[in-house]
Amino acid sequence: MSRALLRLCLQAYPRRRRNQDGEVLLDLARELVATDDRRFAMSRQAVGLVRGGIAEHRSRVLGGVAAMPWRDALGRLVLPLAAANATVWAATLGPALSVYGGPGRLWLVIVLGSVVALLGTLAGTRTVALLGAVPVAAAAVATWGSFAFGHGHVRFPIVIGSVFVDGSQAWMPAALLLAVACAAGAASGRRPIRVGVLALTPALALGLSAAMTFDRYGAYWWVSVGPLLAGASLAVLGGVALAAARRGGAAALAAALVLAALTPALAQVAIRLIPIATGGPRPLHISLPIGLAAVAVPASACMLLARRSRRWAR
Amino acid sequence: MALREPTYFVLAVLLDGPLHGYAIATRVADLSDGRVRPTAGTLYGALERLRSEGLVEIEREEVVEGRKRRYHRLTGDGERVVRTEAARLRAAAEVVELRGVAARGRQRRPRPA
Repeated sequence: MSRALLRLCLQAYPRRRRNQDGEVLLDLARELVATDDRRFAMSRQAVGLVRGGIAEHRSRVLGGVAAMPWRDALGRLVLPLAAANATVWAATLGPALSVYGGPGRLWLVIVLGSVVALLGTLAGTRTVALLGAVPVAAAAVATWGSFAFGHGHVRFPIVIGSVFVDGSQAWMPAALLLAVACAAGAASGRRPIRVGVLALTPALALGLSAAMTFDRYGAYWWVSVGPLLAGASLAVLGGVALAAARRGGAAALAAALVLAALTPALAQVAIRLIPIATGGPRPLHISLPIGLAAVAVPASACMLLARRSRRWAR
Repeated sequence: MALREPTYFVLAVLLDGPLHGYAIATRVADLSDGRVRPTAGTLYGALERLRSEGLVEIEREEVVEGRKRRYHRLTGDGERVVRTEAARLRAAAEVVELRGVAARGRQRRPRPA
């Protein structure tokens, strides 16, 4: 019975590892169970095997990324991120056509940006990758900003079951990460001020986008609650993973991403709580400061990151 | 970078010479007064990681009473790392201990009348 349970838990390991070291692990676990006089000795070993297997899978998937400084890790992650980014945005065309009769006016720019980012990454030309990543990140963040202004005309709905998930909002943390990764790569060897400017560019684009979308109002702000939570969760998960990857540097990166994800959401909540007449656009004197604050926080976080990245990279 | 406690004890017990997994796990538990009791999964993961970092290496494998055992031994780098960590911990402990002695000395000193 005990051997059967342990053998079952051993299945958590990758096949190659099981074939190579399975018997050694199993015998070790059985010996430890046999000589452990505490309660739940068997359960401890079983859980230990499952945890070890999961950790093995994780390290195989991430490769050496977990042991790298965050900047190197971003360099490794930028290609899969760019590929996933291009796929996600291209996949939003179908739902956008069926739900809205056509994609938003920024769709073409975003898809082109994604493709350029992917091509730049594939070619190893990070400046080109950055040029592509910037509009993607800006558009993703702008959607959050535009909801703060009461309108979400750059939404890209993805249908999950019977629920519409806004692809652009849920994808925002990843899009930001992509832009930061490209900025870090493109900025290597440059002076800190230029690094800061590069990192600030997506946020400046956000400000322009938010300003452009100010004059319209949509009644579907509640649609954004699910993606908002999904986006925040994604940012937190990504942040925790990166912080675990490297204490210090990645913790700051995680904090910046979480901040970047949460600030527009908080701004959105704040602007909803302000009692004003419904049915029209938000007054400029209310929405503009909050929108700018939503821009400033992630922008500052990105700039700080990019500046500090030079020190961490030493 | 400071070693985590289980890693420190695994490297420390290997200073005695090559050991198999079961011996490592039991000695780690003894040395740490039962505070660190690695399971097979966590011990195996730690040894694999240390092996990839070049701190331990596999010496041999043998079958004893039908059980397959793999012996690990410390490399030169591994010994250097664990001794450096021990020195760091000793220095950190001294910071507190010296203050303890100074504080006791102050308490014993008679106060002026």
